[in-house]
Amino acid sequence: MTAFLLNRLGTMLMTMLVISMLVFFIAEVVPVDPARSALGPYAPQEAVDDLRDRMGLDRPAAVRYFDWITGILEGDFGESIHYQRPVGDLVAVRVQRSLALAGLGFVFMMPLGLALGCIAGITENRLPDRIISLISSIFVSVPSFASGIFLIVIFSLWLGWFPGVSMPDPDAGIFDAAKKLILPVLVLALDEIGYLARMTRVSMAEVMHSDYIRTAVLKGISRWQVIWRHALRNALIAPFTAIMLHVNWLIGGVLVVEVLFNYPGLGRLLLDAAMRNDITLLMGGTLVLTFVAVATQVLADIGLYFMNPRIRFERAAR
Amino acid sequence: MMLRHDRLRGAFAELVKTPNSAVGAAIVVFWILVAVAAPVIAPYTPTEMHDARLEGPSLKHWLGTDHLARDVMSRLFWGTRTVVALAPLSVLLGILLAAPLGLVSGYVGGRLDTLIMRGVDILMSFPTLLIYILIITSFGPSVIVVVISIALGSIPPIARIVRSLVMDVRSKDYVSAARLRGERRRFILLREILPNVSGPIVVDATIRIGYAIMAIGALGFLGLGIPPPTPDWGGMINEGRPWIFAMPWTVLAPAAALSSMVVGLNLFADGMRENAQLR
Repeated sequence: MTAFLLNRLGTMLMTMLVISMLVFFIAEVVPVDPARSALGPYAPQEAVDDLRDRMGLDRPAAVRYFDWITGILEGDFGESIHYQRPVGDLVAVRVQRSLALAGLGFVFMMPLGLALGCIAGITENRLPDRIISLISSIFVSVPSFASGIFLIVIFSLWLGWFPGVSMPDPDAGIFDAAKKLILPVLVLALDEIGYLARMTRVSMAEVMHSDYIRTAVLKGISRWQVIWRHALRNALIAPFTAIMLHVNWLIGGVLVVEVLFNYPGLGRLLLDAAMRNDITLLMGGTLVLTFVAVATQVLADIGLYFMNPRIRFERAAR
Repeated sequence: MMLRHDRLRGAFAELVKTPNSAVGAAIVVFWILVAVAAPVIAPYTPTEMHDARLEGPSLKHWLGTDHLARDVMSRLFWGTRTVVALAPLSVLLGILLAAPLGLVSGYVGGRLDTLIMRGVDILMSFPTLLIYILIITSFGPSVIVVVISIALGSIPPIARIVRSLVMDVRSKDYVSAARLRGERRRFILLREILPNVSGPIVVDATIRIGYAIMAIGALGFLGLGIPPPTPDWGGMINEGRPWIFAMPWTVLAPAAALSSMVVGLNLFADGMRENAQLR
């Protein structure tokens, strides 16, 4: 148990270390002159030299990396070139908003995706399954920026029900705020529901074919009892893992949704940083977002360990 | 040669048997034809500027004009070429880079396998879209950089799939036979193992082309894709977005085209997979 937790944490640290090196390498070592590319081709040479100085670009890359990473471990992500403010402060505000958006998307997609997948799995190859499978194939295939466009045109332009942008307004009441969030959350959820339903369907169908379910049916338990008491728990383990491992996809979705609806989260901050060549901000934000992804995966792993006794005993037996 | 041709035709006939994959194949073939015939069927060139900007659909411009008074339908047709050419190219590049890793990792095993798979796991936990953004910011957006970054992003999953396929085949009799004959490792990998794992790799590649189309579209949408004025569906969505309420067609058309293409590919791939399982 302790060994398992330590193992996971060790892997996580290792992963973050390698990723931080990669991020640093791609963002700061590859461009010949990060200061020049941050300020653009028309900036006066003195400004560039000054920025080079502040970024300490004259030192070897290894030293710069070491400074950067030790700074981050102390909570100092450096200063954004564009905003001239600490990266940590900028990111902290935005990451909360993005997590709120992702969290709402999750609350929306989990029950829907799981329920659709279960129904399809139980009615394998019959009409409900055919319909759900076709719909989830389509949902999986339509990228979030396209489904977002469709929803905006349908619900804000043609029906006029919801606004097409989601700039949060601090003075707005809860009702207004919710109205603004419905479309972004819906787009985010649609992006994942198809995938989740497909995973659940396969897993549910597999469980329904297993010997222990046949035994339960032959014992004469009612169909709903079999599904509810025997099948569900085992069938949901696989999609749970799948969705947690899919968090990287979800992050991509969050980024697209934030840009599409003008929602000021971490994704938009990162994209703006990329557009402005604000390297310190881009590196810091990327690292934070990747940390969120990696941590979610580790948490999922630990959750799975407790949910599924088979893994627990397998590891203990080793 | 004749035999090979018949076998190919047989395989294709079997594929189209399931209705879903037939529909999928039809959609994909349609867009490929559009890409090939773009110069003939597009009413104008994609960069030609006309009299009126942001004009609604008319007989002259079936899908209207965009903010620079360019014909949307012509841009849509020409944009098909970008997608049809670049998505398979980036997947092919990804396979060329990842397959050797997977082959060696799965066949040799041991420490080397552990090392490669550790690396793959680490890269897998890096959100793909962030990798693209980082690479494109550093190298500047261009066709080559977009293709390479999508190929690089697909290395970890492809390497993993190839490895697991190789591990299934590794202990088969014909591989042991080759080993006992004293064949070289390279011969065994390329002549005995690779041909027998290539089927599933192709199925996976079909799905991956769909992902690549989404990725190219997403990058274009974020303003990091193929630089303008080259027509590109994602870029068209990005450019038309500010006018979505005035001129929804300029963004709806490329969004629908891109979605239909990925739907087609995935339906087709589903059919392929079902066929492979039935056999």
